Amino acid sequence: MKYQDDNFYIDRVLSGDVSAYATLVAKHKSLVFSIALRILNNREDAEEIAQDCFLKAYRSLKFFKKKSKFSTWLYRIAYNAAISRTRKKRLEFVPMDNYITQNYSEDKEPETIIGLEDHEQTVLIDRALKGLSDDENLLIALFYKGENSIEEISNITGLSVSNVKVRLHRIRKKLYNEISEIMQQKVNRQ
Amino acid sequence: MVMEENNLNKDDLLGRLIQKSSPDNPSDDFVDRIMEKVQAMPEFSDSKKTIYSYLRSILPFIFLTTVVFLFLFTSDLPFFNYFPGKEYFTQTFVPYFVSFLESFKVLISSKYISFFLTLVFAAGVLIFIEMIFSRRTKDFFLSKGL
Repeated sequence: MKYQDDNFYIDRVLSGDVSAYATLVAKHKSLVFSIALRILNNREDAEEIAQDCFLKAYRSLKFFKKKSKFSTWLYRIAYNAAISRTRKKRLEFVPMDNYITQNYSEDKEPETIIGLEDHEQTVLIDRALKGLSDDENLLIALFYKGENSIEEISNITGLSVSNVKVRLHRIRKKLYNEISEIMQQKVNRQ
Repeated sequence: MVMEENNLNKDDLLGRLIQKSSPDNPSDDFVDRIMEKVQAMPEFSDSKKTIYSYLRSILPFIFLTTVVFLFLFTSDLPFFNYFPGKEYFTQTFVPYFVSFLESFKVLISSKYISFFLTLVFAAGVLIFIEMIFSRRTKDFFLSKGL
């Protein structure tokens, strides 16, 4: 389904068309649920938090100033609600000296992936993503699936911009390694 | 080579692969359940101030204005038939305030009453500060998505 800009639905909700909120929920439910799931590690709790998050966002919609993207605001509500539920510590700060010593680029794309069928690529990336921690999956989801910028992820998670960057670089590197390993295993089996 | 910011490309192979990964989806009736609860909530147009809440919010100002007017109209002091000037200040205004402040002497002559008044004053200040900050922080955090 092709969606309009979030502000279009927000204006409709604020002018009394409550049903427009269903479109906002449908549009963002996957990532809100994903954020909660990565933090809580339990589908039922994640669904409850995701639901609370949408209800809280609805109640507070008139306070939304449209200075940031609605999705960033919503994901931040979800992130904070999930963190509060677990009393888990927030994402950890990564020192910059580690970044400098560990982030020499090995960001090579395994070319063999390109030859795979679509469904094979999906299976492959799902398997590679399982090799990441929940925190890493959360950042990847926000960056790639939520299409948030590094600054927006920084706003959502409370990490500094440079820390988000460092983490994303590391996660990408780790993912490429995971993919290469899986591909290697596949080749060995053949 | 240390990676630069520009290297974080969303549209590379990895980005395209991640877009293909299976999404985390909540249960099928997720949207319906939320909308059921949303429909039960008051509409935004209802959130406008009712007459009762409006009257309640202006009540302190009405009370204060009434007290001031009663004081002015029942006072023996010629508030309305004299334009303030130096003479008015020295002959009327200052003596009035002197007598007004002296009346408080009775209140603070007893240490028990002084203690009690200090407590009431401190509590009043705290309640006032709490009222201001709780309203502001609520709006602030909601607008920030916290």
